Amino acid sequence: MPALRELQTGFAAAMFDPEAAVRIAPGVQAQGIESARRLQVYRNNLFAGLTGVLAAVYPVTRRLVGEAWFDQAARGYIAVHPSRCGDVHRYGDGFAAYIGGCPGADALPYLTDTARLEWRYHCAFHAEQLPSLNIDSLRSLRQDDYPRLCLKLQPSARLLDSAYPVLRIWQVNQADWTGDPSDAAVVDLAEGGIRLLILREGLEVAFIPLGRGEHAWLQGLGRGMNLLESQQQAAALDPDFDLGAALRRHLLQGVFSGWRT
Amino acid sequence: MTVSIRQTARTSPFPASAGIGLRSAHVQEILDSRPALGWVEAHSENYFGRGIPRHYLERIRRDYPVSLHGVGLSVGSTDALDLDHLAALRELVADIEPVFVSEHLSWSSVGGRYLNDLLPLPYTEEALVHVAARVAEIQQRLGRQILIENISSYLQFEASAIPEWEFLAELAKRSGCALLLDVNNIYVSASNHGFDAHRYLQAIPVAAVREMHLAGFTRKVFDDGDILIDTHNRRVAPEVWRLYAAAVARFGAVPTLIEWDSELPALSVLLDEARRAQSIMEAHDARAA
Repeated sequence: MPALRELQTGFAAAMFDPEAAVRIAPGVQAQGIESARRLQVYRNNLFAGLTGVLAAVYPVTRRLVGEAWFDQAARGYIAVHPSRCGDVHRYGDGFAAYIGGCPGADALPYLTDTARLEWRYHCAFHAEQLPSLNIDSLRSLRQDDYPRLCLKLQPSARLLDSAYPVLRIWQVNQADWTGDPSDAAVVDLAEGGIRLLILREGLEVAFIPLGRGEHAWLQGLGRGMNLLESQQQAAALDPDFDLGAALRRHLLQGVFSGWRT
Repeated sequence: MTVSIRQTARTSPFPASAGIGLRSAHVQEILDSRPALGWVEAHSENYFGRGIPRHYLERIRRDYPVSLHGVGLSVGSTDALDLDHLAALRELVADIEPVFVSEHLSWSSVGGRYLNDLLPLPYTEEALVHVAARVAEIQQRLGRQILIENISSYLQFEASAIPEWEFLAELAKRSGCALLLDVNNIYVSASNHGFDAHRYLQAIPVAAVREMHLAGFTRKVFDDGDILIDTHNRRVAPEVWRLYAAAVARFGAVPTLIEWDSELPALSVLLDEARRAQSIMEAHDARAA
């Protein structure tokens, strides 16, 4: 292996593995301060940097569990889920599932879903908003084309289905939340779950509560199902699902950015 | 009206003035108060993908020249160049029309794993050949010259055979890139590795330097010595201001940026630091005149 490749591979391993650090230490000039300490500076920078990235994406989660617990969970996550991208805004997918398995997480059953909400918010915030599909552009369709119609969701559109009132939890934990502070302590978990569409609307990210059938329908469309298939999926879960009403509502809301048959 | 401001900003020559790093917490205040400021620099990756942050950068761009400063391209990596990353940068460059596009003399990934940090290279002929080819490829794919910035480092590799200043000068010569001299990074690395910061400045070709950076560092004290860390969380140190004055004496007044990335202060503090850099440039110009 060329020397540069070997050096980089060894250095990267040393960031996560103390034995690998021992192996590369002779290649680092000591100059008064021992090599291990110098490598430790880089290890600290790496873990502190990515912990900061996760803290920025998951502020509500961090508030729910406390900074110390969050930072420890982040270190564990970083150690086993390396970043795969030079754009750190893409780091942290999967952190929600990871923290659900951390010791103590079962005390907050809604924790994973709250983190999933934050990840979706983050993705929608950084997503492009394409021109919305105009209802008129569908007028050229013949009636018998409709079952085969595939609607393309906006790049920002994300769905969430939770057994907990995670939107309420998210709202009362915002820095600028101005409601009754005592409400924050008494979010009623018995309030039940929520299904959401998370969608960029201009310079805001909107949370749009969905019915059970609507959620299944949008999920089907998002996976490339046509109108018939997605309607069948929705109707199987919700016999009252009204395709015409759902189509109108989400066309008006600008959820779709294109179509094909 | 807005359109004419945008055109003016884009067609006028870029002045040798002081700017600040753009942080999202300051964007609204800058848009509302339009402070006297030569230019702003944005971290490229924060604006990839045409999300909500892009809208604000486009608005800032109507009022100020913008430079794009990348932290994630992993220029010195032995992995293949990330063409998706480069395509996202190219799209951003086409949209924002920055005065400069800069990256770092560092690597941050290997084997597909990103450490998302600016890591030092061994200064060898092998690394020089590699980095010069990478920079040339980046410039070719972007269709423009880029600036390469010296980093702060906390270790040196035994394998290094070329001083950093020679490596940087040679990189500019071989790849045709320009240089972004981070004066704080020179000070930090000189202190950490025991070299003479002024010798560094003297070795850098004057014509290659298009931009300078200034920032604050943190001294970390260990039993066996101190390491200065490039933390970007405080004012520029007095020693770094002195080194900057020496750099301006050698390179002339070039666009200079105040970087402040964590423990962010009020915008007024950044503007105050920028004014100080501006006054050092103006004092130099007055002497030269």
